[in-house]
Amino acid sequence: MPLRTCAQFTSGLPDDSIEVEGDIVQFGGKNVADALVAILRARSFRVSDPGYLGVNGWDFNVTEGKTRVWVQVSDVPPIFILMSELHRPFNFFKGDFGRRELHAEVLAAMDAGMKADDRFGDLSWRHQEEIEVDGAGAPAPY
Amino acid sequence: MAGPAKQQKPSFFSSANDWIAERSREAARSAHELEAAGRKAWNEATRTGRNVQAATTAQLRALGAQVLAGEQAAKQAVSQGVAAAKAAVGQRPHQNLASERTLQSAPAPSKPFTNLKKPQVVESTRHFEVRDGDLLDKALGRWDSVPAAKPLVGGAAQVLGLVSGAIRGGLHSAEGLAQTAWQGFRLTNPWDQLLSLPGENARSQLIRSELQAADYVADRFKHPEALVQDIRRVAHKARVDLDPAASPEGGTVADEARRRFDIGMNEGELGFNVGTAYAGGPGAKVVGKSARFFRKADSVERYLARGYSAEAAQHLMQPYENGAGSHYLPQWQFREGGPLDGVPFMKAFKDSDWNVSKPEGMTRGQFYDYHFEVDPSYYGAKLPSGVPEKGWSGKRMGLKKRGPLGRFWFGMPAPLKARLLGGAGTFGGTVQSVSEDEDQECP
Repeated sequence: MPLRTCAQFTSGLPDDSIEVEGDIVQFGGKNVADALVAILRARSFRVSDPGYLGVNGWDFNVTEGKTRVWVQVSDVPPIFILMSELHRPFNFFKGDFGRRELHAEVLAAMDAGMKADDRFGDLSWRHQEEIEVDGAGAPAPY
Repeated sequence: MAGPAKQQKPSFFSSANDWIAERSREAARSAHELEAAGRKAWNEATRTGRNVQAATTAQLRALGAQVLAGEQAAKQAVSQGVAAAKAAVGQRPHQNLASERTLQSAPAPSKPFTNLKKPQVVESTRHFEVRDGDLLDKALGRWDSVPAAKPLVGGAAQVLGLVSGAIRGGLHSAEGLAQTAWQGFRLTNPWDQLLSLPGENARSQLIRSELQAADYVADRFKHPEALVQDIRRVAHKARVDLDPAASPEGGTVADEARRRFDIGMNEGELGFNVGTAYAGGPGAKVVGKSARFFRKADSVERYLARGYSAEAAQHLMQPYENGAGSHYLPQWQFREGGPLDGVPFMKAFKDSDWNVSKPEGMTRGQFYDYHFEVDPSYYGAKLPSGVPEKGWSGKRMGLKKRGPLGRFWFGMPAPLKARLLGGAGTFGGTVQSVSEDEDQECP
């Protein structure tokens, strides 16, 4: 069964977007991304610091060798949207290689960590085409 | 009365001197013809991919001698064929001049020379044109005997060529932009069809060029070997145009200066094109900004109809000025551990006009619409604190994401698109130009 690689959730963390004269000059979600990075690092994953993506929000990478799981967190009030993609090394002889299981492990770790953290709520896991679709979603990514 | 002037008998020495001078002139002319024939054969070989050794002037002359000898043999073969034909039909010489001419113009039967075009005429090529009495020949002629003169003067000429080539690149770029603008104006001008000759209006020209391009693609899809041949020809032409070591050095200092100047010009123009392609020249910015003329005006009603408040509509109707734009290659690819991390020049490319769409004159709402359609990982954004609704959502606006092909085309920044189309046009033009060169030499 394919993984649900995206999620919708709410967060009790304060709005950290920066506004100047009625215009948003830095979109929020860094504190949410920081919290997710901390959850993953506590479970011994190798995780980069969050990077700013402008209107898309914030992202970070979880790496193991040359296999990478990219995670993006977007503040789309009233919810946050989490997206993830697995990027595995490729060469002509082997095709895609690296550890496919890393993606499921990262999603499971975030799922467990967010459920245990009362700063997050209303967590539902979705396929990408189910984002912002009412009633869709599952309690776990797999 | 003065008698007729006594005619002086030429002395042995004076006639010998004349004879030597005449032979020297003939030898010089002959050497020149050999070089010209050698260069022509060398150029042919470069285009066809045949391996020919002619790194020095002496080797070039030797090659020319082989070619001319081959042509002589071909002519003799034709003459023999004519004589044999006459003998076979029992004709007297010159009895039927028309048939003789037909036979003489028939292709030579000898196979080894089939790729040497127009065998009886040895013409100098574009790059090695010899202009008798040229000021340059006169000025540099005295240095022909100095061995170091060719590389020194050639190097200086190449540097001069580089500068001139960069200027030529700028002029060509400006010319291309002006042509594009003019064509765009004609396409949107309703009078163009009435004012143009039948079949010459901008729309017909566009359709014709698109059909030609489609024919080319369809043909090369059916015959991939022809595409390989096209690429090979273009690569050979590029090598000859850009690499001083890829063509034999000029026979004289003046010839060498002309050759290296041409190469420098080509290098300079290429440098200009690559430079503007990388950094985003003024042309790129013009193309990027011109996109606004093709976009519909935004309206407050559009947001109100989707249930947004007047404050939200007002915010979304403001010009999109301070944002980072829509990145064609996503930003995470350039990050540490990303596929483009550490690739040279990629850091500067990431936020350049070639990777970021930020068309001038867009409202915030229009930008969000566009970004939602072309970025698969964008769904919405927060609105500022003074607005009752907390966020803008593509779903709420009734938008749909484009598929992979739509993202590829509509997500591409206008300058990159223009460069891609221009590049395809340049490739096609180069193939056509190379083919035309060959057609001219091979009727």
